[in-house]
Amino acid sequence: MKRFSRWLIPILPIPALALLAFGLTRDVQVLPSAIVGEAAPEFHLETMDGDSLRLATLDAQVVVLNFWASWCIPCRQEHPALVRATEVYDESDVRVLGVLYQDTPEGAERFMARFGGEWETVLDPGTRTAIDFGVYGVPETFFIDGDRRIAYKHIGPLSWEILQTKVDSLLAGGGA
Amino acid sequence: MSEAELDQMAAEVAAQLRCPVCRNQSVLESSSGLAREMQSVVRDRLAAGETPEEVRAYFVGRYGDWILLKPEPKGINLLVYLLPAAALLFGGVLLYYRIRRWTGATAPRPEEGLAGLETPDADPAPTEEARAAESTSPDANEGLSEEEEEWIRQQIGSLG
Amino acid sequence: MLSTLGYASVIAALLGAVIATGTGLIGGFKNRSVLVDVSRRATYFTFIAMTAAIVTMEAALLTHDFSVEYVSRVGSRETPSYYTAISLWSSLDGSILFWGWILAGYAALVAFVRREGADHLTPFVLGTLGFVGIFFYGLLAGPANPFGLVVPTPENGPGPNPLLQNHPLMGLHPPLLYFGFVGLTVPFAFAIGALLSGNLEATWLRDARRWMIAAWAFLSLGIIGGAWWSYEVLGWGGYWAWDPVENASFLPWLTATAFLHSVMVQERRGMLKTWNLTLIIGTFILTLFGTFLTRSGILDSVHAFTEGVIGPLFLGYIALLTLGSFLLIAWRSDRLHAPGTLDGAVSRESAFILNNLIFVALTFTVLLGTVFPLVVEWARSERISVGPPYFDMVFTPLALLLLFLMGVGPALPWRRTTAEKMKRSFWLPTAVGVVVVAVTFLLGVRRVYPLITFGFAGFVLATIVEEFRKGVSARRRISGRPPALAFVDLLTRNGRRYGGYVVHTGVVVIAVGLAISGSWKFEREVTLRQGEQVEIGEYRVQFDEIFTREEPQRFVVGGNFQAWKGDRYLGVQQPRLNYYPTSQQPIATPAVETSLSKDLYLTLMAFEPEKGEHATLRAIVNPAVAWLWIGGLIVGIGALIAIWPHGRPVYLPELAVEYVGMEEMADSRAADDGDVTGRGEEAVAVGEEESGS
Repeated sequence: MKRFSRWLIPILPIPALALLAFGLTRDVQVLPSAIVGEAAPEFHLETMDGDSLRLATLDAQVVVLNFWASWCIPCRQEHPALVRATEVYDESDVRVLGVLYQDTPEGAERFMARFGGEWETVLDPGTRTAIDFGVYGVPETFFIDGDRRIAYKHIGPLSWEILQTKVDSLLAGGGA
Repeated sequence: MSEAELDQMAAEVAAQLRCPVCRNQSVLESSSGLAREMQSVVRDRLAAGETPEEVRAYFVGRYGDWILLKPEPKGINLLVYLLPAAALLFGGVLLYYRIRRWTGATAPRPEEGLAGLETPDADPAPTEEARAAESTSPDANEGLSEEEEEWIRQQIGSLG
Repeated sequence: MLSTLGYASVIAALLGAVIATGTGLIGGFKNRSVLVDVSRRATYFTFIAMTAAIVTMEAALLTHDFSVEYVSRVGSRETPSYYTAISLWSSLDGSILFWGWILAGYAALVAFVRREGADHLTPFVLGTLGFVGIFFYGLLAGPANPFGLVVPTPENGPGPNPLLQNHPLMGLHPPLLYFGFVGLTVPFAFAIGALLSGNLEATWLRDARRWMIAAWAFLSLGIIGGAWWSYEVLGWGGYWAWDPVENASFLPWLTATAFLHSVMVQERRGMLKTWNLTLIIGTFILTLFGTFLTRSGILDSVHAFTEGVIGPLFLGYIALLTLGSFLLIAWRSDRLHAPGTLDGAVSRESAFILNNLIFVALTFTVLLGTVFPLVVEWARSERISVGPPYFDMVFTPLALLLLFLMGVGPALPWRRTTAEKMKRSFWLPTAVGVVVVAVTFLLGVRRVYPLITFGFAGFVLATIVEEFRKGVSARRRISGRPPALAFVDLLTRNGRRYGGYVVHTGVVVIAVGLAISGSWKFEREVTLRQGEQVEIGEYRVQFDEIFTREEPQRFVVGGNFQAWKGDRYLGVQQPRLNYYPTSQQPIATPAVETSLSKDLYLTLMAFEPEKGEHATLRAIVNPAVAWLWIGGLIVGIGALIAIWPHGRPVYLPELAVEYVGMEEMADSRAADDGDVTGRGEEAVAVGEEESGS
């Protein structure tokens, strides 16, 4: 082997090691969303009370669309943040809307009765709306702006701080 | 399209979609609720006349490229398709020249092609190992078939 | 109490490993046999200490001592004892403990079999093994301590990961994989030992090779066992998902297999010294890489444990060993120079070298596919997936090339061949291959890959049969024994070669199984009402009812399905969904009705929860899957034949006296073949010098 080339071998694995080091710095749970920035998919669904509801007919400036299920533990964790949102914001400004994910209406009613909250939840038979929104699991929350575009998507339990920041920036007319 | 063909086609598309709530399973393979619904979305869209490409594009629009188990061969993704071939080619060329060099070192006589090697004893420069192995054959030749001779040589050789 | 005892054992093991490393390396460099003795004893001591730690952990698990941190995380009073016992490897720190124990065991075994004779290699080998151990025992003493004390003692624990307690097979393949993975440390230690000692003649290689075959056999069985588990337990209908962790076990297997072939070229020709070192070291690094993948949660996968500090530590350790090993090679490169010569471009040597090219290309491809999502994310901040459709596409052609070479290699003689000889040894296998392709084509097979697979399979099997035939007939002439005994002689007296052919046979069976099951699998997903039937191929399945069952550790929902194959009643099949308190998704248990030609594979996908009136069933007809397990078994048997410690072969001295007159040579070969303890060192070394360099 030539004098210099022999020192090449030890250098070869360095990019691979650097790649792995990079891998450690990231969170595999954070999944991409192709849909942020796009128009929110239209849906026409029934609420738990039996009313029919379309996204286009909602007149609030910001829609907080929350996919949830009664069997989902983190959903309990984020529930107070949503409750607070309905208390703090005027319904004409911010509309919180739940979408039930892979769950029965009975379970959802028990959940709401137990943890409180006044907002409506629509049923999503066949999970079609969740798939339209590219939902991976629950909870996931979409912040939809006045133009009915998806401004921001939050995966996992939402905190009041995040919710407030996003909603306020949308109300102020900026992006999320 | 018959129901069975539709099922088959839906299964083929679903096999290329990654189940979002599973770890490394395709939509086809997962028993999770979301995956089952996704498969029926696939089937419905195919039944409505969409092509498999359009169905895939629908999911990519919702979930991003992540949803495809086989990356689209475009942009940086091309590397994952081209690098293996390049590595094989590079290695192959390297080996070709290496083997030529290695064989050149013991083939001083130009006429020594495949045919020139009919009789091993004619080897002009046997290596140590070769001499060791071959020294068995002249004596051993008697009463032994060629096969056996070969066999003995292999036995001794393969032990060493 | 057990907490303290366990922790003390781990600390003792750590101390032992530190001493073994220090005294081994210093003893080796300074040539002090006293220090080497200390190193050996410290290695034994480490093993005893780790055994104490393992026994303590098992005792804590089985007595439900929840004051021990690990038990509080993976134990539960409801989990059956069997699963409690094997939950040793159901979580991160427990599996590191298990890993450490096996490593200590291997080190002690090496120390024991090499206890006699003052060679220059052993001290360095023990030092290296100790050094590798320090990391694992260090992890156990620090960030991955499973023996931490939990105060106050919990009443109960959550039980192990549902996937790991869902099927008894979980007790089988993880230990096999661990024995394989950890076993690969031994050849690595020999390689590093040889580099450190500076004696890079082929002696070390011979020993490394033997340990490599053993580890390789465990790894092979572990991989097949894992596939079996995946098939029987996970319920997704397949056996290999190209999951990052499956790939992680496959990568070192590929390089180890490459080594087992290229090592023969070095033994014969003294060539490829650096290459073989690189393969051994690369194999070991790949095992660490695989472990890193599993333990760091860097890629999401069924198996990832995802925990904090261990990832960076592991990466640092991999970097240290990788750079260190390759710097050692660079440092010793002047001693690794070999005047490579081949007698003929068409020879068994060339076939092995080509085989190595393809194995390495395959390794590169699988590695690239596994980490490629990371590359894209690094370069583009985008997430992509690389899954089975990609791997199947790139794997198949390369694997077919390897299959082809498997037939070419044995049919080519060492050194060189002639056109005449080639014709003689290849016409029959080629004819068999062509006939197989023609017959399967006439039977209606139109797919290209399966046709090629069958053709190559016929070709390879024909060469193997031919090898055995030649061997048996020669042995019969020499010893006059009947064919059956002559056959047994071949296997027992030249196990490495003929065991290798048995392994090849197993691989051919697996290849055919893969081709058939990959190409002719078909499935239907149907929702059935009670009493309704569905036909799938020649099978018929009827849904009767949904049943539920409360078990201590889980809630089971299953379906009773009656199945028929043609008119033959197959009995009631019960695919189930198991609900564990710790898991959101149910874990499926499929019902598999196996036969040699095809399996009926039923998975319960969904059911009507109120009255069980209908059930959604995924029914798969999986042809020839049983052949994979049979092939795996043959591979295992072949590997066992190859490493079985043989008695001194009788025929060689006979030959030597009666036919050849080369006693001393035969002697050295015999010592090589018959003695695994390394006591034949001197004789072996002589034989090696003759043939190797």
